[in-house]
Order: sequence, then C-alpha cells, then structure tokens
Amino acid sequence: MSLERTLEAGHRPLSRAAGDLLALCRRHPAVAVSLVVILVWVVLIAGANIFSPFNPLQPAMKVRLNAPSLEHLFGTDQLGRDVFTRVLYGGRSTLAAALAVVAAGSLIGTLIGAIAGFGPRWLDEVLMRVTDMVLAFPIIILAMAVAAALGAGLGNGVIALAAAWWPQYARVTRGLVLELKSLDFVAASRTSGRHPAGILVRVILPNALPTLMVMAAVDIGRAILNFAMLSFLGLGARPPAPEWGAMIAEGAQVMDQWWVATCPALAVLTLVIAFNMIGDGIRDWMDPLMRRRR
Amino acid sequence: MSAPLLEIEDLRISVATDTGSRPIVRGLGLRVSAGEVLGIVGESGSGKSMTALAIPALLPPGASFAGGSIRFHGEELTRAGPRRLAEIRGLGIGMIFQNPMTSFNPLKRVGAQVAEPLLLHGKADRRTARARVEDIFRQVSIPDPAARARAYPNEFSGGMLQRAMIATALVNSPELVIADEPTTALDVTVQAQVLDLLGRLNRETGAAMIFISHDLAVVSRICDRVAVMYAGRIVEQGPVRAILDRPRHPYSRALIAAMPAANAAANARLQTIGGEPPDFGALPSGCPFHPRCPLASERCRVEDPPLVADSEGRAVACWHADAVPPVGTGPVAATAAPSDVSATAAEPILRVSDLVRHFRLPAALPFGRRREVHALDGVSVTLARGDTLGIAGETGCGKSTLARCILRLVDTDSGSIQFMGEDITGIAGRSLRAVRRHIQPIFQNPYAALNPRARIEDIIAEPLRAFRLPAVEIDRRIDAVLDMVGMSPRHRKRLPHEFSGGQRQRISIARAIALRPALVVADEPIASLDVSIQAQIINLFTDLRREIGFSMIFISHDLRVIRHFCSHVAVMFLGQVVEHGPAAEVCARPRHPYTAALLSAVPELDKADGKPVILAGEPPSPLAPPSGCRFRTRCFRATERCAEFVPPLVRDAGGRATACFYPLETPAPLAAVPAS
Repeated sequence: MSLERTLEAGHRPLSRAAGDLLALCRRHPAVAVSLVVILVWVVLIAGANIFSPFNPLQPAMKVRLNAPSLEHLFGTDQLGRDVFTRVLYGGRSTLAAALAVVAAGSLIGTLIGAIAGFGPRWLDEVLMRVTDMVLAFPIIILAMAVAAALGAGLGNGVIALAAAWWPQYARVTRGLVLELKSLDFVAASRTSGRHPAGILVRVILPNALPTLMVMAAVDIGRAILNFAMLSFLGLGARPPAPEWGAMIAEGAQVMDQWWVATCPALAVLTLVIAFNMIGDGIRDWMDPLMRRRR
Repeated sequence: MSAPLLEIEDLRISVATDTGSRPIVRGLGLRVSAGEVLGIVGESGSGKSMTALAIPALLPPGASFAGGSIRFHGEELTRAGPRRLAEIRGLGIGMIFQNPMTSFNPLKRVGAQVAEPLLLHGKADRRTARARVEDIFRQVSIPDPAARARAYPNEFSGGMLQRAMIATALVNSPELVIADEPTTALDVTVQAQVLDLLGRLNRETGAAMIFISHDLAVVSRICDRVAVMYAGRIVEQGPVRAILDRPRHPYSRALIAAMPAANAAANARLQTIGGEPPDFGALPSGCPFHPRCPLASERCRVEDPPLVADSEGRAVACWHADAVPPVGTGPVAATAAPSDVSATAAEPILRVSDLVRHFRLPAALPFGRRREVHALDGVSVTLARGDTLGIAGETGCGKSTLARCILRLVDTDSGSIQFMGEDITGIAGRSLRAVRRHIQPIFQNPYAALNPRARIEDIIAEPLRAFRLPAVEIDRRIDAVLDMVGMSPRHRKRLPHEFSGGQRQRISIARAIALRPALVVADEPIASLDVSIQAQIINLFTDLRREIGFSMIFISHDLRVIRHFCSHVAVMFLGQVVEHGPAAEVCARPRHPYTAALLSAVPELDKADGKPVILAGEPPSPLAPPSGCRFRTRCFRATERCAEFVPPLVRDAGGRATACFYPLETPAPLAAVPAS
C-alpha cells in the first residue's frame, strides 16, 4: 500500500504542489531559509557581470592580497584579482559542473538500472556486478583516477565524476522497477498486448520518476562538494579559470590572508548545507508515515 | 435486563484532515449489558472502528474525542486519568484486533506477551502467570500449550496467532471484550473456528463482547443484538433475528438484500444500494443516507432523523421506517438473467490440463536444500464458451497462480492451456500478443490495478492502441465502455486517484471489456470492496455478460458469490482441484468433504440448519504437502488409504468431478470414468 500512496503523492496538480511546498516550509523553517540561500546564490552567480565591475581573470598587481574592504568585499588574491568577483564567476563553473554531473550520472544510472530491472535475469546479473564493482570505490578516488587519466580540465572533471556517480541511480532505479513490475497495473499493461519496451518507458519509468527526481535534487549539494574537491586537488578546472575548489587550493598557499581561501569555502559550505536541508525536508514530505504524524 | 455494563451517550469523534477537522462519529449512543454480545456493522468510513477504539481511549493520532460520555460500570472513562485508564484496559476491557500478525512483538515469546497484562497489573507472579497462560491457551484451543507459550509469533499460523490474541484479551478475565473485525484477515474455515471459539468463550466466561464487522452474516452468527452504523451514527439497533427478518431502516434492509442468499435463483440480479458511502468530509444534508435511499422524501433532505426506540427493544433512525418493505420484495425485483448453464456438448473455450507450477524459494542456508512452493500440482479445468467458472479455495490454494498462468503472466512448469483450440502454454512474441487480445484480466485491488499517472482515457485505450485500432474507433469505444460500466464520459480526463475503490473497479472492468475479449479472468474482483458496492459490481458483470457475452473465470474465496454468479465451480485445495461441476449442484450437494466444509463455514444470513461442519486445523503448508490426499490431515472422513494413495479426479456422467475416495454422496451412475 505504501508504494501506491507514494506513487499517488508523486502525481498532484501543480496548485497542490505549491500548497505542499508552503506547508513544508512552515513545518521546516530550515527549508525556507535554504531556499532563500540557494535563490540568492543563483541570482548572484547568474548576474556576476552586473554585481561586480571587476574582471575575474585580469591580474592587478598593485592591489595584491588586500583585506576585505568596501571596494573589495572579499578582498583580493595573490594576483590582485577581486575574490568576490571570482567567487561569483567561479560559481558558474562549479554549479554548472555539478548540474552536469548529476544530469549525466542520473541519466546513465537510470538507463542501466531500468534495463537491469526489466530485462532478462542474466543481463541483470551482469549489469549489477559491474555496478557493484564501481560502487566499491569511494566516488572521489575513482573520479581522481579517471580525471588523472583524462587530464585536468572542467569537462574532463565532469566526465570523471559522472563515471563514478551513476551506480547509485542504477541501484535505486532497478529496485523501483522491480517493485513496480510486480504491481497489478503493470500486469494489466502486459495483458493489454503492449510492447515490453513501451511498458518500461511509458508505464514503469514515469512512476519511478518522482523518486529519482528527488534523489537528483538532493544530490546537487554532494556534486558541488565533490567537484570542488576534484578541483582542489588540481584535477578539475585549471587556473586561472575561477572555480571554488581551485580557489580554495590557491588560497591555502597564503594562509595569513585568510579571506582568499575562506570566502570560496564559505560559498561551498552554505550551498551544500542548503541543498542538504532541502533534501531532508523533501524526504520527510515524501514519507507517508511522517506526513500523518504532524 | 441487568444494569448496563457499558453505556455510551452522544459520542462524538473528529478526525483532523488537510482541510480541518471533520466529524467521523456524530452522536452515537449504545449500551451493552453484562454477558451480552453486541455486533456493530458498517461499511468503511462508517466510524465503527473509531467507536471501538474510543472506548478504552485508544484513538489513533489525528482522531480526537469531541464530546459525549462513555461509562463503564457507571464510571466516566472520558475523564479518567492515564493511570486509571491503563488499569481499565488491562483488567476490565480486553481488545482483539483485525490483524494478529502485526499485533505481536516478533522478538518476544508469545507466552510472555500473553502474560504481560497479568504481570503488569500484579495479578500473578512469574510462576502462576505461566500456569495461567497455559490454562488460557487450553481454553482457546491452542494445542500443546506449554510448548506454544515458548514459541515466537513467526512460528504461529494466522489462526493460531488470532487465538493467542484472544487469549491476551481474556487473560485477566475482563468483563468486556472489544473485537474489531477479528476474523476478516482469516480464511473462511479458520474464521468459522474463531467465531465458534468466541461464542463458546462468551458462554463460558460470561464476558460481554462488542463484535465489529463489515459482514452482517458473520455478526448474525455470534451476536445477540446488532447496531447498524452509517456515516458516524447508528441507524438501526435491535435483536439480530428481528433486524434480519424485518429491517426497519432502508440501509439495513439494503445490506441484507445485497447478499446473495442460499435459496435465491442463480444469477438473479442482486438488489443494490445506488451510489457510494459518503465521504465523511462532505456529508449530505439531512439524513446522510438520503442520496442513496429509495424512500427519500423532502423531509429527509433537510432533517436528520433521530434514533427512536420502540417497545420491542429496537431503535431506528428513519422518517419512513414504517414504509420500509420486507426483504425479498421492493422496487428492484429479482429479474432473472438468462440462465447460461450451457449444454455439456458446447465447445470448450478454455481447457487447462495437468497444469504444474512450483515456485522455488531461495535456500535458507547457502548450499541448503531449496524449498519449493507447490502452487499448482496437476490442475485441470474446462470452461465452455459463454460459461462462468468460479474457482474457490482458501489462501495459498493456487487459485491466483492459476489465473496468472491462464493470463500468461506466469510461466508454467508442465501441462497445457488450450484456448479456443490453440495451445497457448509456450507461445511468445507475436502469437502471444494475438492471444492477449482475447483474454483480459480484472484484479483484486482496484488501487493497484490502474496506473496512477495515466488518465482514465489512456488506461482504457491502452489495449486498443496496442492493437492499432483507428483513433476514431478508440475514441468512440472509450465513451461506450465507460457508459457500459456506469461511469460518465466526463471522467475521461481524470486521474485514478480522483475515484473511489468501487469506481476504480468499474474503470478496470471498462478497460478489460474494451477489446471485446472472449474470456475475462477476474481474480477476487470484489474482495476489497464495501458490501454495498460488491453487489453493484456483480450485477454489472451479469449485465455486461448479457450484452457482450464473454466467458469468465471468477476467482473468489466466497462460495456465496460463486454460487450466485457462476454456472460452474472448481474447488481448489493446496494446488489441486478437488471438486468440479455445475455450481448450483456442487453447492447444493457437495461430494468432497472440503467443499462441504467450505460451504458450511461461509456465514449465511438464512442458515438455520444445525451445527456447521468446523474443520480442525489450518491449511497445511504448500511447501510440504501431506502424502496421498492433501486434504486428509483436516478431513473428518480420512482413513489410511487417503495417506497412501492420491485420489484421482473422477468425472461422472453429469459433468461433476470429485477427487475423493469417500465422497459424501454416491454418484448416481456407478460406472464412473476417470477424468482425462
């Protein structure tokens, strides 16, 4: 019964969804705060050229390592570049990379999981053993290996992380497909004479989608953290391109000027916490048991 | 009459919903005297379970007490403190819940859990508690009490666990026992045992009982008085016999008339209540029953009738109580459908021969012996074109597996399924698709049978599109089948969650008949519906079959319904067919002891004939069926021969087949031929 409830909860008219979101915010004020934090960041990052008059790449040796002031909100770095500007432009790389990682990872994972769950037994075994093998490595270790092999760079960093990212989606999708496959409405689709591929794509996957989308939304925070980590290790974006992980690495060389490393680190911290808070809230909201206990 | 043990006055309970608080019990009053058994009958949402839970102040979160009084022995329970309530729950009132499987802690021994009320309330020390538990186990007929008390809940079967729960309720000798649908989760033969046990315990211990059920026939078997609930109120109350014979509220009358009676003409239309039980969030004005009531007048739309008691100890809440016609007459007279018992020579549309299907379970230990569930073990049934074959049996007898094999949703190990002369057992791909067009399913749970993310029109169109019907034709048929199942074409664009269970089942049926199939396989299509909706669906099947003329396999645990609806019946026990033949004959003169026991176990409103045959024990595990005849461990006629040899299914000239060495009635033609 609970799966059916969740399925129905996943399909509500938009007006209801807006009401649910309001109720969710009221029950978890942290979710509301997190939404504001994310919104502020997205606006700042998207409008970086509006909010800052500086060039993120142009060195200005006269103002090297200036402390935060009204002119340079977050101070300047070793080459005199405005840290605030670089954090905003860096956010573009980090956020875009994180979104790309989650999109690619969830797409590949869903595809593999769906085939494993719906296809013949032997294919399931093969795909799942491969998945287990990939899953056996910590994500960042595997991504480092792949990135090292491909060479540093924003695009290669994304490929490396996505290569380590998909197995969790494969596992979850396979589980969902197996569970949905046993439900009567899927049996009814089979007896209706529909092609099996049609059943998978048009009947089963749409019902698995809400769960996967929540998972992806929650994952963005983790992807940001992992991509920053990769760049910090010099395997992601290459200097002088601004990127939060890379900026933290540069700032770590001048620890006396704390603002150079701390400001991008704070950016990562606030965004990741905000995404995690929203993830917790959504999980709460999806769980029918928790919903009844108010 | 003695002073009332329990007295409820003007009880009001509200439930918090997304849109504010809604009344679910609206001014309910009843009294229970010492030693009396009171039945409460109602459909889902009538507030019967809430009433039961409110008495010992066990309302679930979200539900709250909103007024009225509950007096137990004259003591007001609604104002009692938590400590006093705990005392009353432990000592004065025992509770029996619907699902024994979830009512025990799986990590504690059953004996310890049964003894808990004794120890908590200081009625016994550990040693005397153990003796008392063994004593009470004996009283509820749990064999080998000392050993069973040390067992864990997972070592008990459902029926035995329900006995253990009854033991827990009785261990402190309460004066009142509240049983909330105590037999609904059990198989019919086990239900008969438990009802028998509850009746006996009531006589032996003198404990009064409130017995809550959706099934009027079950209530009539055990209760002295009955209260019928509708939309949070009692609409009629009185002695069981009096209400059954001469109901005075249109709703109780309709409930009685909606049940297929033993003596009714086969395939006659059932009398139904139109519409659906009201959503407690949106109660109709006036009498809440008036939108479904054939007698409703202007007054009913405005004024809610009070419950008025008369001199005979009956009470009814209806403005037109005197105008309620007796059962068996009335506006919807029995219009017999064309009898469809076809000539035996008719060409069979479906012939299932020696079907075997075992499910392999994973071994408990690595390299351990793999166990097999014997779901189907050599099942043979035939269905003539235009007939309806009912398949009856208890949980685990393989009836659903048989349906899934015929639908080709499950593969078979051996044996064959012939459909319209073609062997469909092993076909796949294109030829399987071609067959699918002619065999359509209806499932038990209407909440699981419809894709929650598809519109109604897409659900119904799915099979039509799969077979590439022209778009105009698809469009026309969607409207046509919706109309046939009593839904409006306005519903086309909606999603399944906007409909009630009964409406969803109608949509399932619309989808099944959209392709004009030759065979419809319905697996317990009414089991999860409310009583008043069940009759509507059965009538719908009767009408549709007359209009479209499909053959049907109708799987049910309820022989009442099969006898009413089907021309033929096959009774299954543990993966085998034990009796097969024309439904009317098999039900009137069963030959296999199991059929006889099943028939006798089904509670019936008008059953007055003697003591029911109550089977001992419970169905054996399909993991390790007994040798010889599988029924022998529960059979009252079994001999050593039954343990050694498997009785073959022997067919007689009249089209009846029985698999028993000692049938209850000698077949008329002595020269019996073995079934092929």
